[in-house]
Amino acid sequence: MRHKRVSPVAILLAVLLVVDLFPLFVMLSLSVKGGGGGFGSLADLVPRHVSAANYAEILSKGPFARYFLNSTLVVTLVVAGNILFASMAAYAVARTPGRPAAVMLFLVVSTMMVPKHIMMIPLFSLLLGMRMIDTYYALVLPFLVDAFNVFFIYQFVKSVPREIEEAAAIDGAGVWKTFTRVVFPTLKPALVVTSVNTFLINWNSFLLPFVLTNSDRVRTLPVGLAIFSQGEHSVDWGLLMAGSTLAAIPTVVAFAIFQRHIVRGMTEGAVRG
Amino acid sequence: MMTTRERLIFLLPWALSFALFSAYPILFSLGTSFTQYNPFRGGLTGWAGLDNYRQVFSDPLFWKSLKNTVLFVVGTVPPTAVLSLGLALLLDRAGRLKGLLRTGYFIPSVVSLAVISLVFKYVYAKQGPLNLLAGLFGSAGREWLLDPRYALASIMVMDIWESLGYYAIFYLAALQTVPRELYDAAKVDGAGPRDLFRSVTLPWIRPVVVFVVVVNTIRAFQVFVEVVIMTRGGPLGSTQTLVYYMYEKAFLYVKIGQASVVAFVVFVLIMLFALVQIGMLRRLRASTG
Repeated sequence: MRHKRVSPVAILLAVLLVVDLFPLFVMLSLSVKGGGGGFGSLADLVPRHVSAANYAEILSKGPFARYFLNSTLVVTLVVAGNILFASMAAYAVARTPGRPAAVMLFLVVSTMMVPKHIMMIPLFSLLLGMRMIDTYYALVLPFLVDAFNVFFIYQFVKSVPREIEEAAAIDGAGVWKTFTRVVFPTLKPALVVTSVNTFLINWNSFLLPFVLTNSDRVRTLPVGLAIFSQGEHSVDWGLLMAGSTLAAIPTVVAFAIFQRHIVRGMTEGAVRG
Repeated sequence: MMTTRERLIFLLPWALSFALFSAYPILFSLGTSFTQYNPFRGGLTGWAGLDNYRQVFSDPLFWKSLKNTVLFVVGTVPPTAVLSLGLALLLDRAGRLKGLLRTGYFIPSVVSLAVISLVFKYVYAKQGPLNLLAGLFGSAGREWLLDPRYALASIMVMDIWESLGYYAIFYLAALQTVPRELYDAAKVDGAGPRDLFRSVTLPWIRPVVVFVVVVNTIRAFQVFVEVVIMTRGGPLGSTQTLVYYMYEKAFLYVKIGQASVVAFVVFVLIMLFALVQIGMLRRLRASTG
């Protein structure tokens, strides 16, 4: 390490970071202030005493706890689906020789580029026809196999030597057994990246869950909070910010823990460009 | 070796998902833009020819949405590309605290855009923190989101703030791959810091610049979440964007044909812009060597 002391650049960045995180500080500060009102002056921004009243209220009254459970359930299923189905597809493509593999890969990559907005109406109409609007199915099925995950895992499977699979085959293991017992464990690093990224994207997702649901029964957190903010009564900002903080905590914690994996998933995906 | 049948079984979940949730929606949007269609009443009730297109293109609100969307793209994509590169260059020189600072700057990007939009709705409120800060400088405070002059710009500033740390990560990763020898060789030739950046760093990370600009353009064209949560297109249509216009056409007025026209127009615009940007930046590379 060349820098023994903290460099001036680091000090500058630290000061700017305080400014950068100011809006999130506002969120936190307002949520622990207690009571519904806002800030009267700048000095009020720093809470003099911390109250958990907003948190207690939002978790016990109204549909917020339900939103939280809905988000947890939906995201768990979507992550599980992606781990299994995306690696199955990635494996099949990686172990297919020649032109068919190239065609499939092309389809996977072009799906990654399709903008989400174009799915709003067709997906709504399709799920309406299947009587799935406002059900968990609508929030899970369309997101079970993300093309990006197929592509990401595919790159990883390619680097796994085939010898161990062939050895397993000689020992009499079928394809499914070879996949679950031999291949799957070797994919672990790629699957960690896939899981964390899929969790982040779907926990935060708003656009499609917003149009595919219309009751508190199945609404997820971001959608529920947005609806709450537009209720008929004047908005209780303290309550809303407590909910927002609770919605943000899981992703911030996940990021703190899995930072390196997330960055890897992002930048390795970018290399293809 | 897998048999063909085994291969198909392994591919089945992805293939179903691709057909139903990717291929079908694009074809549906294109097809429905030429029809009269109402999923609640009778489904497909006939062909419309170019009627939907005529109606959309003669609606002043559509053109206003297009204008606002282009403003949003032009007002967020270049500033984000430049500022996040600046942030990455600083982070690259931050020494021991680099990891910690990088984490800090990334935090806004892991929080849901819906939550960010709610927080900023408060930050921008009449009695909100931004006006309290402005009061320090003697400003009377503004209705940031309720004034047609400031609403779109306020959302744009929030968007840049939200994505800064995200795109800086890509630059930072690229900066760390620049071979030290290139810098050393240029220094021997007497290059100053500015020359080093122009003739070594920038050419080396140019593919990442393309990536950041293209990805952010695709995202910016679809701006919706902020609008639906913060302004609902108002005040006076000043934050009406294309995807929000499409949403209202489909889910408020149930004009699915017209909404599909908008969906397709946005799709084509995104593809065109992405191709032009990739082409322009390629040519730039060819001309600067």
